[in-house]
Amino acid sequence: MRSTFLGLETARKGLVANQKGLDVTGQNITNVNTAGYTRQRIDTISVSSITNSNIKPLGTSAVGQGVLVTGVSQIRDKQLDIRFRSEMSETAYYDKTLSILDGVETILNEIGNGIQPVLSGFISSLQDLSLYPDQVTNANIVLSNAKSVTQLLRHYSSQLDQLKTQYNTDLMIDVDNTNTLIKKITELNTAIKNELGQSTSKHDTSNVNELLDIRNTLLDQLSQYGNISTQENPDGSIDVSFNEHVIISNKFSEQINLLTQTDGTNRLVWQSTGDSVILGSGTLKASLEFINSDGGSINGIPYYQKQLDLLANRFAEILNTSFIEKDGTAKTLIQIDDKSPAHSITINQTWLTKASYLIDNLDVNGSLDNTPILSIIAKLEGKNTLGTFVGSLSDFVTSYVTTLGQDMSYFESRYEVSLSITEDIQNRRDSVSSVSLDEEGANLMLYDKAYKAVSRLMTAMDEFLDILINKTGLIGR
Amino acid sequence: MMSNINQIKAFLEEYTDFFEEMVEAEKLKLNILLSNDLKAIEENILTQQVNAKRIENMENRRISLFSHLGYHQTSLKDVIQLLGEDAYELSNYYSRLDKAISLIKHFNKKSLELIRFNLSFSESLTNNYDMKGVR
Repeated sequence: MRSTFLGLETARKGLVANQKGLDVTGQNITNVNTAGYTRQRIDTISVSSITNSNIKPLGTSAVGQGVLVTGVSQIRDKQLDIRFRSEMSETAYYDKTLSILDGVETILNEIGNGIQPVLSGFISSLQDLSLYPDQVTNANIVLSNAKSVTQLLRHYSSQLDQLKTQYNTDLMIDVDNTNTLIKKITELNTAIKNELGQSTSKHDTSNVNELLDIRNTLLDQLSQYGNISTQENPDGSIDVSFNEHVIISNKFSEQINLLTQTDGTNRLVWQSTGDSVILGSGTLKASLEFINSDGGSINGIPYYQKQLDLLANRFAEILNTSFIEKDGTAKTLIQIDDKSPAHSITINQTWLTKASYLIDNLDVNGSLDNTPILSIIAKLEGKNTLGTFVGSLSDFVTSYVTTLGQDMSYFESRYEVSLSITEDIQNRRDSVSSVSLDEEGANLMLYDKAYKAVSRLMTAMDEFLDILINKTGLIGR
Repeated sequence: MMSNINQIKAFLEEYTDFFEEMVEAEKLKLNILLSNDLKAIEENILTQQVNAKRIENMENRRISLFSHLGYHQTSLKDVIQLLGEDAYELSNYYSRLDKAISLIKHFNKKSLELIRFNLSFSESLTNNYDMKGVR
């Protein structure tokens, strides 16, 4: 049998539900510009007239007992989250790659515009000297141009070194950021797990919605450093893997260590196992590749250093083998350290103090011998083998700059496409999870109307009870 | 009459330019898919069919030229190595070609992923939200 006051209780539940609806709408509207906020909504169910589901209501007398708010949930799409993080990781990889190549390009453009004119100037001064080998002015100009070549090679080599150091520092910062994010997500996992443990309903996430937003934002950030995958646990925590290596699980949180090896290359290792960190994408992978790789599939900063070294070596080799002393030994005009040729290349002290040191030998006619000078010109302009390259030194510089141009264009194309896809997924995520003021405005009116209607219902119920209690059966009293 | 090496160089120039053009076509296809413009997608399907035919014709020309020059069933990389001192100049074409083909494959893979995801996403839109508001 229906309770006398059931109607009042039904109306009260309706007021509570609509008030909660208004509260959630207010929360959504006020967070319209909050980064990482996921729109929320109330979950409601109709309260049955019976408590035992095995008993079926009889006739039409069994009416429900109003509405019950079961929780406040977030509107998110997990598929979109997974896709977004996967693409974000790729976009971040290409973004970092382009940033590093951009730095190399700045130096290489200088090399292209710097070394080629200086090399041409050197060849031209040699030609003048070959015509008038007895003129000390010509010898001075050759020395001066040779100095310019060596100075530029040292300068560019040092710039590439600085670039490598800069990206090494960036890599250290990225590793620190990654480790901090891993720790924060682990802490959030614990907080979410504890809060959900106290919740009366396992479906109700209302007390952790804000924590979930922070965790999702941090996971988005983490995906920039490497390709992550997540696995949600029933207790509300999540397990996170970096390219299938578990980095967060329950209370366990992995850390990454950056090691600099004896050959100067960097290596990332997992703190727990000491194994190498292998990543499929993200900024950590890009930094490692472009700081370490000296050719092959990736032309990193060491590759461009190596090319500069090849150029320095060949330049020194040509000059150091062309002039023969009276005792038959070759004159050393250029000094170079084999370990870092471009970085160490300098003019030999003897030549530096005496420009005419080049041509103090006489030919068979008793004139100064210009044959070595002509030989140098022929070697500089002829076919030189530098690694896989065959051609003049000037063409080598052109090819050196062209390789970078091709690499940049390749990675730019990939970056553009990856960015478009990431933006597309972000837009879809926003359409699902972001606050729409139009939609919230409609909800506001809906809950407002419903609240007023329910309050009218309560008044009506009150009037019924007044009639029942105060005005029924009064006749005859 | 052009020497063998010049014939190969001339063809490789054309071959590389063609595949670089195909990279742009693949990029355009992906952008059209992202735009969700049905008319443009339909038009692009026709263009794709034409491009597939053009690739086939270009490949037939390569096989025919290589056979004619005595490089039947020899890969482009191997032909370049066989050409000795011209190898460097030709390896530039190879490098460009390698990058172009890698980009075509990449964009094609991305297009396929996008289509698969769109289909699965559309399917999920037909389902209701669960109790937690999560699809």
